[in-house]
Amino acid sequence: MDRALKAEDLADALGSGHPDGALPTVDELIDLIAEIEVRAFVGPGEVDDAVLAAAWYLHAVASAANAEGLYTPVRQQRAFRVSAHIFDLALGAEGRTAVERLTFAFAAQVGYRRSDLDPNATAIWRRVDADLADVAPGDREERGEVLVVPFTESASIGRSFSLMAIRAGVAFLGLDFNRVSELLVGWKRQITATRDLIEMDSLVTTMFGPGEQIVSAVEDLVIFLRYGYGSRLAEARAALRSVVDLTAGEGDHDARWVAAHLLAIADGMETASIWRVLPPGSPDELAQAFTIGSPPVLTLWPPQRDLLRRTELNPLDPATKRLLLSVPTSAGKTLLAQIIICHHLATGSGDVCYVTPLRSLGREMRQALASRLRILQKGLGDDLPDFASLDLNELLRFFWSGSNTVEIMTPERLAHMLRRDPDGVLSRFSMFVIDEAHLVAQPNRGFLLESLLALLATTDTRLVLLSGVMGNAKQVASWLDDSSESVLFSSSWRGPRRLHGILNSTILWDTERVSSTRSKSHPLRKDYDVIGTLRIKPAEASTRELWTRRDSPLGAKRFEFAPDGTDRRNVSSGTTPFYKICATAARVFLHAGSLLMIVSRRDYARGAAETLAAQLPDSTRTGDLVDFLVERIGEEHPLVGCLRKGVGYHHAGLPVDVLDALEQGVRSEKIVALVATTTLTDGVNLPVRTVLISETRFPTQDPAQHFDPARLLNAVGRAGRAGRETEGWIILALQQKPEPADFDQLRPADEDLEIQSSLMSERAVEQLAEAEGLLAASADAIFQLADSATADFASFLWFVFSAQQRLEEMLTSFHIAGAVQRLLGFAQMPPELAERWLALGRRVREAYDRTPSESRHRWATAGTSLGSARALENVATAVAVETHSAHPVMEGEGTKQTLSVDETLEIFASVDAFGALLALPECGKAWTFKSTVGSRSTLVVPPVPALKLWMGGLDVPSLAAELLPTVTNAAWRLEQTVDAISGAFEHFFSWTVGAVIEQANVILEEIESPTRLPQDLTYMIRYGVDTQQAIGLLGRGVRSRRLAYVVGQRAASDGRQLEQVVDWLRLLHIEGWIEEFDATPREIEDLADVTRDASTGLLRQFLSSSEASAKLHVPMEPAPSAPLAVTLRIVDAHLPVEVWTVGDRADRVGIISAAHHSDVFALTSAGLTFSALTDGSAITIRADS
Amino acid sequence: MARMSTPKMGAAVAVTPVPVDAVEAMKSARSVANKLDALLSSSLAHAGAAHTCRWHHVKAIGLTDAQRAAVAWIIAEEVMESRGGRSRVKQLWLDSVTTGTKLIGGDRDLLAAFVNDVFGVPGKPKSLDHLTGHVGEWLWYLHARDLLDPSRTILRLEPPKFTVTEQGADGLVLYTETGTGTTFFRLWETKKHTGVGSISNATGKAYTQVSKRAEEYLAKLTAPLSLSPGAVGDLGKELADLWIDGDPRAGVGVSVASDKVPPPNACFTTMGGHFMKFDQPGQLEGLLVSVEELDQIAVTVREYLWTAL
Repeated sequence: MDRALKAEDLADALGSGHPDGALPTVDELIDLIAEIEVRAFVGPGEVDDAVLAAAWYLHAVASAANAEGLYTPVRQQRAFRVSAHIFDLALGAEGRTAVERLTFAFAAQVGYRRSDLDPNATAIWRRVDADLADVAPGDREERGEVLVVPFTESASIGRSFSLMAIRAGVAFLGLDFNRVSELLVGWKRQITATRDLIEMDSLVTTMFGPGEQIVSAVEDLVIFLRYGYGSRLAEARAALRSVVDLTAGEGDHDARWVAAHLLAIADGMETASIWRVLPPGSPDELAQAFTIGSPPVLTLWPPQRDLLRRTELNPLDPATKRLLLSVPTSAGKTLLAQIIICHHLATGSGDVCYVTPLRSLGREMRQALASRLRILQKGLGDDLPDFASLDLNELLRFFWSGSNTVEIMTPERLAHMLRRDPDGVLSRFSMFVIDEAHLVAQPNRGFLLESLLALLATTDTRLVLLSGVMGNAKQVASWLDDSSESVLFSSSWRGPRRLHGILNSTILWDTERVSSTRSKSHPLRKDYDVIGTLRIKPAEASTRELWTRRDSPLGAKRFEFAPDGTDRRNVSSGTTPFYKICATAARVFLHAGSLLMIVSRRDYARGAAETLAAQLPDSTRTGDLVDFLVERIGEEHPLVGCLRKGVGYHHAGLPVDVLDALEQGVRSEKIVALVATTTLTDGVNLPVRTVLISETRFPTQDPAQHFDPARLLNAVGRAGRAGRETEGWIILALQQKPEPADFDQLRPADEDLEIQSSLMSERAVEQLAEAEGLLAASADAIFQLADSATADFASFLWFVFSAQQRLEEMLTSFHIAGAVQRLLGFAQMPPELAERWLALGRRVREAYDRTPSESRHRWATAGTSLGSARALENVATAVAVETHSAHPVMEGEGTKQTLSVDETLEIFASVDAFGALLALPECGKAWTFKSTVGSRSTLVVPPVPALKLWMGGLDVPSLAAELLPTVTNAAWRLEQTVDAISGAFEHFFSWTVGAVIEQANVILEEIESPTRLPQDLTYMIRYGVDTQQAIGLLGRGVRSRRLAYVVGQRAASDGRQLEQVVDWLRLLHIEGWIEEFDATPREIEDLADVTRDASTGLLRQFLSSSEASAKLHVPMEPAPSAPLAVTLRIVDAHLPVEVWTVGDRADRVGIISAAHHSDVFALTSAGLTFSALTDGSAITIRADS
Repeated sequence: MARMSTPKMGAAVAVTPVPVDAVEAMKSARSVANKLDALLSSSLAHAGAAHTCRWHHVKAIGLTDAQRAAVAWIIAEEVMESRGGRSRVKQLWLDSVTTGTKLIGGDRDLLAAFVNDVFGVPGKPKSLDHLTGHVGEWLWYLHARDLLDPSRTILRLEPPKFTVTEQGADGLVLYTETGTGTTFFRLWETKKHTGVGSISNATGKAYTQVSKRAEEYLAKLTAPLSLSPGAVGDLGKELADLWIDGDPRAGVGVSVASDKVPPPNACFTTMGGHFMKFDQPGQLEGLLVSVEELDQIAVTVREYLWTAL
């Protein structure tokens, strides 16, 4: 347990030789703190005076400067850490005054910051943010503040100098630039007003001098961290020293306390500042991308600093070709990836490919990089489907013409791109960053990642692997590159503490209710109430127990007995499922903050969310989210009802944009609880306070869904996110008899966390034996391998053979044939097993050599098993032949013609292409419908009419009614339709139809037919629209299908081509978007981004030359005779940026053009201040000096 | 001599200032070179012993209105000196008082800004309890500053806080022992005692508060003091350890400003029982400031500050 409550640390911090009773003993202190921790589960509790006194003693010991002779640095660091923990707990108590809260907050922040737990200092700031601004006059006395009240109406003297210093200190240590800036404006206004009154440039020597100097120092420090100006750091230090030595003024004791600590922290910040960590010669915009981009990052955490400062194999050194970074969740891995990527781009080293198996992490990275790349003036590739067979980039190219881009994708997409164009991909990207690389060990998708790594390892490209904790990180690093031990960087650092708990259900035997049944064998029925028992381990050696209330049972348990009272049997009806008991118990933890509950199945996720939601009042924070979901998945979808209560559920069956909205909802704390299947737990930066793991294992479960130790550890890492919380609760719910060893499950050993190739799993070896048996009977059996490790292995080898052949034909420098031997499995498995896999490989090679060359490549590019690839080719051939026959060459026609969507679907129907596709093993249950949840039979739903309705823009509820008219339960109808949209339209059909069309077109070309099938049909299926214009918008980041559909339709009917859409949208501006398309605020923000003029780089321009210009939407008429001073009125991202003249009688001059709207908004929300002039057609903004 | 009726329990009684205007008060104060010890009698009431408090008794009893006004003026001037620093604020106030011209506009706002917390502004006074407590702190501070004690020299005397809500120590004095050069400190808690009730209530509160909060007070002072050069820095970094260990170099002081007349002869008698670890003579110190009509003095300080407003 990574807690502060380690006896040896406490003993060291407290020191020895004190008289008896002077301080609590180590055991007493552990006991007292543990008690507070346990009470916190029930609600905020008081902290004992003796504990607080001990905390202050430790704070004093730790605070002593130049005290080497008295205290060791280690003791001081431990003293800071323990004291911070206690102050942190004290902050949670109710009824404290603002002064007390701020005092505890600052003491905790200082303790955390000075003991290298930087993010906890930020988390503390969040808890007292409300105390940082001046309160309304009516609240003054209650808040215990001493305010300088303006004596006359005209006076504008500062109001709260007495708290200014500590407030500034707390705000600064929060390191939230935007908030600090906002507060500084207010404090500086008060200081300036006071200076004006006193007719001095400074308040030094007066009672207000200390506050003034602290505020000034905080501003200097922020500017130093933001812009790297060393002179401001020196000025900050001078100001702080003047407070410490009383030259700034006397009587403000808190200010001196604050100043002394900020002085020490400023020294540390000099080395933690991103400006100082980046290598010399890095362009300024690289640091600015982080210090000014969103969210601003001003300092780095200890492991980040350690890595970026290392001399050997520094990740920012272009000569570093291989790296494995193995750090725990929440140690700042995502930011490290951003820095490495941005440095690579900023130093002109080529394009970067960021790969993660976790789509949610990809979305998070995309969002995090967007504003940084805007400052760097570098591109971010579009969020494209995994199996995009037509290069949508080509379609979207007009949106972005810059160089050096980062692409974010899944391993599936990278594999697909490599299969199609290995030379293009390997030539384009000079760096691959593979996040969550430990997932190579995962059954199913793990092998794909392993194979990609093996392939990339054969090249000279830079390869950076990021992973959670690996038990065998050294071995994996050595596999990656055995030339240096420094290939591996690992750290055990993490910010928030974690408190472990085990939840069991307990039957209350004394609540027995007896009744009878009709059963002859078991006529006696007994029902009991069930409550929850929570065991908590607040310290190494102690476990405490809490119970939920008897008068509010979490559920019921039913047994039935033989007539003589024996032969007890469990009865599921009348017994509350365990996941529902857990969901009911989850309500208890919500008071502490947001909660993530992990369950094993999609239906459990829904059920648990409904159970939890039923206990909560309507939420006032989820309105926007509910509106979006009603539009996207329909009013009656069960998710919508849950969200109205602030509860969501998340599983892979929901559409991607819905998942994205849910994740955003949790990050922005609109959603208080999210129930998720395992898809969410790996590597998603969700700010949850509590993780509740309620796993249910059942016989038919895919082993890939099991909560193995690595996955458990990752889920544990979700609790208490760095910078958000200082402590996270991780609760493991177990439906079994409580055992002391239960807690061990939350602390997996190294050997449990070893990463092993999926080729070595028991299941894979069984499948290998099966394949060997099949191949002994028939050489063609290689095409029967499906949905197995052997099928994946065979497909990979096929791809390697095909790609190598093509690369050799192209005379490129890439030699990827060695990729097979580079598989991690071959570095780990015993030789005899390796030989068996290699023998299978030889059979693949034989099959490859027997296959006609055009088929070899088609099968390689399909991305399916070899058998499915062959089947797909058959479908494509049938489609091509039918196309040629149904649309023969007309006399005199020599030009190519592309069939319409309807014509194409008719061709597909006539050869039963969809029947063949649905028979592929890759289809799984993507197109399966049932009349009721428990029904064993399936409904037949023809795909072609469904596809037509989907692409025709039909909303989801209507689509559900059309698809499933016999399903009477509206919620179930909707849920199945949403599943089908996500699994079939957005994935399986768009992928396979795209592959068929692509192959069919090649065949048509080979037979010299001028007819072609529409390539963009695959995207129409993917997105549910029917115009290229709509596809363009959705591919570029517009999230609303409705909006894209409407805009696409309007553009198409007006005859506007895709490349004209952006100009047209700019002309319409926000007002037009609302009028013409009924655009919502969220949709307006998306359109503003699409219509943004990326070539201007307004933000970059402003940062590099302190000046930039933005066009007015409509030029002034008449233009002013001389440049006119103007000011910008910016309310929200979805409202136009208004331009007004300055002065008492201000006039509205116009609005900023749509092309510059989003950049101007970004510029102001980054806290950059400027003045502006207009010549009537554009405004020129200049940075305030 | 101004007199008021004895306040009844629970009744809010307006306290009127000493009927001497500010200019006269200033003149009286100047006539004694602004020295409080010229107006107040100070004596060592008890020399102390192991577990027994050594305490001084300062008396402002039987003074004339002019003398009481002078006491108030001296405090008011010290307050303005401390708050205004080297700015024009104190002079602005003095000029206004001496010329009898009320400040207007920005100047008025300026002075208001400097006196508002603790004192409030005319028409909107702050709590009398806080005001009297603050005056009590100043009485302790000025006594500690001016007291000549051949056995020790002040290394550092922390000036009074400018607010009454700040949670820091009321007083800290760092000393050097004459002869040995040993450095040591006393952490002081100040309380006021007015109206009915026993002084032991006030001292009891002080003992409890300092027992409960001493570590906090010292912790907050450790960081800045330990940055000081020389003996102050050396002592500053050890404050907390010396305190919790009851080291002879640590000690506690309690000051009570009381309006009880006649003043008691005995005070701080139970202090030893509250601070058992301070068992060396001199480690427990006390100051009883007996001021007849203490609230009136406090209100008069405020009145003089407000004279310019």
